[in-house]
Amino acid sequence: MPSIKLISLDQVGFAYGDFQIFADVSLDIVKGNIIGLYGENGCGKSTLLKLILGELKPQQGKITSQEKVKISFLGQNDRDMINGTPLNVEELVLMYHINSIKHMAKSRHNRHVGHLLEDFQLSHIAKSKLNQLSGGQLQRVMIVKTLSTHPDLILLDEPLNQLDEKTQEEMMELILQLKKLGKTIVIILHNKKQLEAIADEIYIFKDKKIFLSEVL
Amino acid sequence: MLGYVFMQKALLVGFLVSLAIPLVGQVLVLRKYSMLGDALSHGALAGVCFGLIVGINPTIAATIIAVFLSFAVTVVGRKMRENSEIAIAIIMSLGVGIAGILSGFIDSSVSITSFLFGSIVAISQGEFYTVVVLSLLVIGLCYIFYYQFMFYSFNELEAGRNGVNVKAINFLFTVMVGLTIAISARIVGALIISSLLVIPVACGLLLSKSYKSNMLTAMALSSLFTLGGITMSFYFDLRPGGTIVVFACLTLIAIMTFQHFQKNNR
Repeated sequence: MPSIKLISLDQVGFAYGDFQIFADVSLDIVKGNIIGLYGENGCGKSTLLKLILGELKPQQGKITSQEKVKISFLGQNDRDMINGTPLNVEELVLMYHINSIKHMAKSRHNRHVGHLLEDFQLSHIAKSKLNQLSGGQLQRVMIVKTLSTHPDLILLDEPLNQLDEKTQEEMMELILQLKKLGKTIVIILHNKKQLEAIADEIYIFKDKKIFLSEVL
Repeated sequence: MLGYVFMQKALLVGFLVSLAIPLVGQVLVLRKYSMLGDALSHGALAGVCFGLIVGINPTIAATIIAVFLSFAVTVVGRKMRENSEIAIAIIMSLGVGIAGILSGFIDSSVSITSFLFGSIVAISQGEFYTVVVLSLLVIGLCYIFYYQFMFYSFNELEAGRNGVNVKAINFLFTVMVGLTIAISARIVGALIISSLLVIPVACGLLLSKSYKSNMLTAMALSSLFTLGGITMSFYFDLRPGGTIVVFACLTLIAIMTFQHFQKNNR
């Protein structure tokens, strides 16, 4: 089956003011693939995700995408959003579902969200407030909310950050579950071994450029 | 008490406004804009003064000014970005300043006092209809755009990424805040309106287990405070606005105290 390119970056460069973050970045995001991004802090990994997301514009090169690629993003500080909110798990996922998938009856939204929570073993905490969850439960919920919008592409910016070892393992299993479901993902991780366990391709940021580490 | 027409009107208007206030209050509180109510209610006094000077319905004049100032806070807040709360202080000073100047042109200070401390039992027929229509409008809009406001209060950037037309929702909410503040100023008074915007929601945050139950709890308590306050003010000859807010504050303190002892006894 021919590979479908969802998004292509062609010699993309970006600078904050006079400070060049990277240049000549070219990569294709192919449907069903998991792409890993690896590099030191401040090398521009998160900036690249923002460019793919369309929130930043490239100053050099171009980004082309298939028509209407729906992108879902999980930022590294997204867990901070729950501070002070009274939302419970079910409400959060339903809120994402209803706002991103229009023209669907409320009962169908409820049904879809119910299935989603069940598939990812979250039904038992559906009525729990977000700020009462453990770190692992919360990150699982955050990943499920990115899935709830039925995205073509999922961007995960350091989803294992600030999680203990056991929870990191749980999250890795969850990401492998997404891989089995055929999801297209671009993920940033600090640990190269973890990236190698899940990614089809790993791009390494070095000297303001990126290099394809290996095709696994 | 219910034999008096003015009390029937006061209770009906109080009930409707008490349902509308926490709907707007919850979004304000969750967006960390609790003090906006204070700024706009003080600013609305400029509208009241203007209305009294030119002889138009002061509630309508206050509504127009409050909506205008609500937009002004949004615009100034976006310019200040990191220190957006400064916008609230700036707009509050501006409103009070203009009200101070205009109050010098009003013959009687009685009318302004009724807006400072509220005068629900003395509202005119015109004001009665204005408050009823605007309250129902705010309640209706909150129902229709429930999930959009929920997302807007959760995180504006994330809402925009996930299908919410943030510009439109922001515009709508800004208008609704202005409307709610203006009509509430007539009921509980400009000086204490922000407490009625915040306290029922704060009680809800302590008692509820979801966004929806928080909202319903806040609405129920807001109605209890308002209707209870009006009733107490009738029987004990007190000012309704102040009675409502003191009742609300005492309830919040009681809930906090109860939860404190409940936690310690576990």
